[in-house]
Amino acid sequence: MVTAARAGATDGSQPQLRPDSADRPARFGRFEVLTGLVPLALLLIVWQLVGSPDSPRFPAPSSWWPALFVRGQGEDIIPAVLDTTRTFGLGLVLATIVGVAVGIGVGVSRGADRAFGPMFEFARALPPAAMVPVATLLLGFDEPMKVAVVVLAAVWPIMLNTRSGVRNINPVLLDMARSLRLSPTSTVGRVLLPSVTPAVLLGIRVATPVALVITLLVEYLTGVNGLGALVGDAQRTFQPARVYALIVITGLISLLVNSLVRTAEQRVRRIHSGG
Amino acid sequence: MSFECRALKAEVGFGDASRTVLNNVSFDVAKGEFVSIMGRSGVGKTTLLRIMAGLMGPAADSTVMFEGRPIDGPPEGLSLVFQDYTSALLPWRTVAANVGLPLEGHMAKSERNRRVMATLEMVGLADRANDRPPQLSGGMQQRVQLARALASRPTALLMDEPFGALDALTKSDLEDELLGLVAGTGITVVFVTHDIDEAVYLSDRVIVLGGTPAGVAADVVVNSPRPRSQIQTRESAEFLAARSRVHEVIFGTR
Repeated sequence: MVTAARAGATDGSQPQLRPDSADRPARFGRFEVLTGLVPLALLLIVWQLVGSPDSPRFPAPSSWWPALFVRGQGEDIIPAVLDTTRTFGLGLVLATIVGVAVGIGVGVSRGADRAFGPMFEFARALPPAAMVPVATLLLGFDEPMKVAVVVLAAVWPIMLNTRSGVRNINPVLLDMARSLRLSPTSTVGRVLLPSVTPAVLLGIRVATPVALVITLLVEYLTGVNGLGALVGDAQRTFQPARVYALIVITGLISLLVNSLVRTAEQRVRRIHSGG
Repeated sequence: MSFECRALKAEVGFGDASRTVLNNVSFDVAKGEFVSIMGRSGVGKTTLLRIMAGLMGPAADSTVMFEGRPIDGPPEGLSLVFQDYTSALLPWRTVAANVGLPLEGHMAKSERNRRVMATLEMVGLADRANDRPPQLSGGMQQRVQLARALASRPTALLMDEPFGALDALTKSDLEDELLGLVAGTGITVVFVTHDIDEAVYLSDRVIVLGGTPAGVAADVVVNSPRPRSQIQTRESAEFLAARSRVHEVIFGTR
């Protein structure tokens, strides 16, 4: 859980513009995917052989799944998954809306950038965990508080990538929009937004794991619903196998969302390069 | 009169870094005339074109008019064609949607589609309407840009080195195509280029900019009859005379 808190502080503060190797369309064969699973499988097998179901630190993997349902627990899993997913999804969507709007604003206007820049630098440097007490004070122990903290952490990579996306728009494109006498709404909607979409999606890709980590962190710290709260409960009631099982579920959600975002990003990049 | 420039002065940069690029530039462009603007690199050709397109303002006390009205912002009835077609076209839109962009919100969709297809027909790209620009060759992309410029039925075209990035064969194809498209339509063309042969071949007049800050160094009339042909025109005495004259002004008599 300590690692989760630390991961929250590295929020992709550097705008990543140059497409790295991960942006290239992945063409894994079936066997290459399997190759990627080998180390994980080996680790779990060794763990299974070495671990015991009663170990307080490393309970064997086979004991994880049943631990979810021990002592009449189990009905709480699906609602927790839904709670976590809703907070995470809402947070990411709001972070995208705010990040894109603010990113376009400070990307277009140097004045706005100079005015708000220092404030953003300060807010960005705050660890999201430190914002939890403030958020609970202002918004109480409820869903809006969770979403607010997630937005506060996930908005930066999206905002910064949008800003550099706007800065990197070829001036010819803006001259073109002006000379065609497009209205401001048309210019933003038909020229500006579509041309920054790849940068925005890159920002969302960086923000996705951040948002999930922070969702769990807030749930863990405040005990307000979701998988993070269950992890906290399980830890406090000495159920390590249950903790691991919940972590696996979280990992699977993250994997699914990441692959969705990546697919969308690759598709948009392909459209922009004419493929 | 299509364009009137009187004592046009232009500055680029701000404050201490500002520099006068054009000074006392005066010329007229008549309706339907094809005028090229030439000059050495960095002389201010593109600055002049941007002022005429309403993308930047001239210095105070300059007069620049389009169809009798002072230019303050891109005027209606005027289309601009850029050299950099990869940046000026939207890669996520189809060819047809690119050409239709200036018409969106100005007419019904069916009317717009008809207009787009007719314009694409004119530039010979009707069969590529559903492709996206990056799938087209450079010459075809520049045709798309030309089609987009013509789709709004302008009375004047401003072109900034439009064929500068194309190979020689494609370039002469497009030169003839452009002449064919504007012939008899009464469209005024102001064409910036650094290619003397191209300027003389296409134009009724070649305005040469020179000096620092630049003024009109020469206003050369090209008397070659129209329609022009890449072979006969380029061999004609009128073409050669105009070509030598422009050459002289740019390079000095050597």
